[in-house]
Amino acid sequence: MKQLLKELTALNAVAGYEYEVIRYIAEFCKQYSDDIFTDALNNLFVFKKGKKQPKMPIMVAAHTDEVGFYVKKITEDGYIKLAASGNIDARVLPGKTLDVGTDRTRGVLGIKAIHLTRPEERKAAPSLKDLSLDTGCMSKGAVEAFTYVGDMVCFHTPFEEFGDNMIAAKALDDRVGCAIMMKALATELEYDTWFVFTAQEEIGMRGATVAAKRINPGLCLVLEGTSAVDLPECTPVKRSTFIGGGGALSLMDGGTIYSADARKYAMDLAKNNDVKYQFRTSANAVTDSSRLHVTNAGSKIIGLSVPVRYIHSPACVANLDDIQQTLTLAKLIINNVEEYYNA
Amino acid sequence: MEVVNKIFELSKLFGVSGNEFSVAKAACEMLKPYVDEAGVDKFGNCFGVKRCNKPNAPKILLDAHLDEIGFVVTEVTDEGFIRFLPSGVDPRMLPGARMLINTATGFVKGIVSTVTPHLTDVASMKSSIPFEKLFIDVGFAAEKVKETIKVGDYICYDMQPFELKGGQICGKSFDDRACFVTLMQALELMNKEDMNVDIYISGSTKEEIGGDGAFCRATADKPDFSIVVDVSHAKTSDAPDLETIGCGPMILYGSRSLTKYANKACEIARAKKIPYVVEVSPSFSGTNADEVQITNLGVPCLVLSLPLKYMHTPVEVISTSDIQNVAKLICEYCKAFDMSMLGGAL
Repeated sequence: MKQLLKELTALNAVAGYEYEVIRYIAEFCKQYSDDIFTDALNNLFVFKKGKKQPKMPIMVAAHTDEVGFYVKKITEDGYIKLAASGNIDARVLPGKTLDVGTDRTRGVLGIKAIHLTRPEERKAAPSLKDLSLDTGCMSKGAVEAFTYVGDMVCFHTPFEEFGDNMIAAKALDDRVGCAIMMKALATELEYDTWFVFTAQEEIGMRGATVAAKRINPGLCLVLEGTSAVDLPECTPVKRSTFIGGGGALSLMDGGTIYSADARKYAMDLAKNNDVKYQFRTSANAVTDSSRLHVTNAGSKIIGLSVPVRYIHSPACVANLDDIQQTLTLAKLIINNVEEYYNA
Repeated sequence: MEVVNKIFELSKLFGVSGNEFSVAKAACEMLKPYVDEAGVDKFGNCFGVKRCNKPNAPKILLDAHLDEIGFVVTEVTDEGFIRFLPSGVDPRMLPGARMLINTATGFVKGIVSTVTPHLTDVASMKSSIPFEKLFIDVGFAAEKVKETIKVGDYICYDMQPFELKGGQICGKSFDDRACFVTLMQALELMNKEDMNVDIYISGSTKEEIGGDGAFCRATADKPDFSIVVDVSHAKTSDAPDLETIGCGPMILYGSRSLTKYANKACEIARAKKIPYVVEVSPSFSGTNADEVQITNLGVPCLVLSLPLKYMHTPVEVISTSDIQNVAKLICEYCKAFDMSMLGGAL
């Protein structure tokens, strides 16, 4: 799992540029699957036959895109101005380095030295508009030699093992969901299952909007990397999820009321099989679930997420045991789906 | 490129003001091939001497500091997070920053924690996050953190240097280790020349907190003249009125770097076709010249600066062409130096 996440988080994919990730996943899935194809939005569909066909299709989804940027403008003096793709708090940007385009030309988001600032300037948050990516180029022409307006820009964050059984990497939201799907579909399954690696989640769940229509699932399992704000001075209710508690089952968020009976099905499986789980105790954010569960005549929906600290920042932190627990529960949900349909 | 490799090697090392031991040791090893004598003094400064072996040769002290800006642990919370205090750092650089904590049992990597944007109220995003609201996450259980990390442990940025386009390089602590490497580059040039001065080198400690290291070195070496080499601000998109990186050495005019010495530097630069710009700072220079000038009975100083973008951040940027040009000017200045340049106020 660690190696898989290292490779997945080394790939760059902002919404609209999911190519590196879907090609990598498709290559991995080839030997385990019965059908692989992509659609107009770059959703990647992987169908795997199980021992039996379930009463209604089950669909597992995780998104391939990550928060990042597009090149918005190249200035005459060689700076790159950026447009954000996804929800990024600009306060995490000063002092970070980014990779531009497929050649990954590295640049830096600096701010002027403290000596040149006034105290009130230091109290104001930087905005993306005020930041310029500096690649060392001093003319527009030098920048245009390796990129163009509209090109993709991603955080430069090498994968690292961190602390005790943790990892630090970019894009764990939602490569961790992709990795769990890949590990699950590499095992023998009880039921035919659709694994859909969705595109464009971070800018409005556009891939998911069309993906489920093709499958018409009876149950959707959405795998995410979700906020863990288990920090000092943060009350338990505000932390949403916490590291070490296992996969988090969603109750409700900004786009979905999750199916209570499906959640109960997942909780019972977890309890009966000694799998750790927790609840996602905040109602913030919107995920692919919001679109998937209202597809066609509607679908039951389970939101299961790995708790991840600092999502949407250059360095996210997750616990390998939480990832393992989430994978175990995801497999249980897939492999017992007929029980749920029959209940 | 050898110069870049040397800068990268020093840049990676830990050396927050007051704990420069490892960087001073590495700097000393690097310096040895260029000098007759080198060592680390009891204050932690790296020093070296290159003699011209001529009687009554003037002594010139070349100074660049080895310490870097950093942080110190002030508390380990019950949850196992680290509270810390900075020296000389803009708090806006910190959310999400990668840190290296120097503990008694080795280095521990950390990340400055942030709250995910989904759970942050939009109004608060307009303000930067003050130091008291920032914590370092090291990814260990609280008991282990309390066992390993102690109040008073030093912290620096965790940043591997790298090359940008256009002959520029990026990393932490180029302020002022790039200038220490520049001194070696100048020595390499001088070693090919017939020199008439003895060169004293100081890789000084504690510049960022007041220049105590250079004060001690200059007191001990008793130089006749000193060239203090530090970094100075170059133009960035948010500071457009400064000189552009690649402009060559910045020659300081001010009370620490008197006009007659600065004029001489400009004259030599023009004669030797070295690009340069001038800087003005009438009082405080913000360099070791502030200290060196008032050691012993007073030391005449010249301040030369290497242009640098984003000072006191983990992503300081310099140009390799500037390093060569600063080194050339140091070499030519030392070559042209004679005692008659000093004094003469009456």
